[in-house]
Amino acid sequence: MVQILIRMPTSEDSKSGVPDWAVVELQGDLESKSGQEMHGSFVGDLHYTKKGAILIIGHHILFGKTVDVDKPFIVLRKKNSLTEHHHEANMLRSQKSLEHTQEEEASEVSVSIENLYDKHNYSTYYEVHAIVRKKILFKTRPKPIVTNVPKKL
Amino acid sequence: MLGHKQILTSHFGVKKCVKIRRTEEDVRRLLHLAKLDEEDLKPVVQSFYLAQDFTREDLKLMEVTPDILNQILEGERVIIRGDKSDPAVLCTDTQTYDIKEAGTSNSLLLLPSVVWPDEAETNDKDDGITIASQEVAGIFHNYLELHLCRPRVQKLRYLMEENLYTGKEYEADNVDVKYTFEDLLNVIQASPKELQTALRELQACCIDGFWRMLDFDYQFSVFNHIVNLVDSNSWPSDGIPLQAVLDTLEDLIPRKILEECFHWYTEPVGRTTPEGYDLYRWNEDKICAFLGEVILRPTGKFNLEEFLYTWQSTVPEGITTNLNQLKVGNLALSSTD
Repeated sequence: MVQILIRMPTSEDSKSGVPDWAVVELQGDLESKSGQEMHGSFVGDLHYTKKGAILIIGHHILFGKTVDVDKPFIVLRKKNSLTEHHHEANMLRSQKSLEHTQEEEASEVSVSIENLYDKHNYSTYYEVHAIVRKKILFKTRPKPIVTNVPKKL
Repeated sequence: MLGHKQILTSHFGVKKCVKIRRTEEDVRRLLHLAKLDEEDLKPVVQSFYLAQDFTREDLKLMEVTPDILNQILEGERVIIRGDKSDPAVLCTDTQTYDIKEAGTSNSLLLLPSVVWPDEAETNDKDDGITIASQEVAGIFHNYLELHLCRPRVQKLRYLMEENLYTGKEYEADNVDVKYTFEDLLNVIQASPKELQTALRELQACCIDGFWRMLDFDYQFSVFNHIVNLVDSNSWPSDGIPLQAVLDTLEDLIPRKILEECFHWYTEPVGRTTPEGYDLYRWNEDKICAFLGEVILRPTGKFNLEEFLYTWQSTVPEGITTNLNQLKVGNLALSSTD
């Protein structure tokens, strides 16, 4: 069976904590008009009014509000610790005789059972990259912006 | 109040040079088209851009309860367990959750940094618009959802039966597979606390660091040793001293097993010996059920009348058998055939 630990970042400077990210939820999907490369492209403008939030995307306007989510999201990032671990082990091995290599392999297996929760023995783990506690929710269907002005966007 | 610089600060706290690609004019033109009055809007506008690497396939969204989040934040062990044949579950220290992939027709835009409404009023009242560029790290149409479920411990009995404990004299030659608690967590989809409960329900004991179920005949012999000791010392059936049982029998049976076994068939009476050791009485229902099984096990079938007679004569003095005791554990059925 595979066991994947979910854990906090290990780096020392993570004492400031995992950052809070945000989710903007809206109906439908985003598509690039011309099917061009979307990376880096502009999506839309978010405005706040006294009552809520307004998002303008392309020729659509969306009305929504900020909400605290009942159930937070965690943003998980897959990490691999075993690759590094193996790499180190291989480096060590190359300096040793063949018998030593075999011994070391055997001992490694038993260690991984005894110290199941030793972080180094998880081949893959998920790091909590960010937490989402709030979102900006655009519940209603986007409204088209009616205009007779020629498209300049 | 948040100033201009902070708005452009990335979540890592490092000032990032986000190029403002939209001008106030761009924003105003769009507002005009949308027939929105700038007066009604807060002065901070956030322009969303897709990140350069926005299809972040290494990122996953998981919806958790505040409780699970706290456990993760506090560094408790939260683990996903599963393989190809078992759908994955998430285990905290005490509970198990099914992990389901939830799809939504909505788009979830994930943003590392956002200015919230209470931060969107700027100090400088120069009628201008502050444009903050925000990066969309990913767009999600599904996320992982957790549903509290029962632990999947069915496999446990099978694993325990692979190598039953039959007495310390057989242990030296015993090379069959044995499981530590950590080994079991590696193959059973349960939280540590649930696994502990399941092991207790199976009447497994931790012997020399390995969890084992006792061979039925062996268990019967341990039980007999205890009953005979109580008999030969003429201890009252509601004043059995555990300490004396352990001290007397530990040469024959490992102390740990004696103690476990003793607790399966007794309950504390709330009194102690003059030396301060707890006293126990028989748990009648558990003893009757166990001895009923001892009688039924080799034959599987028994004439009811004969069985009831044999059964009653097997149990220690002062204990009365009744058929309900067998029904509790689904140990036996009676039929009129």
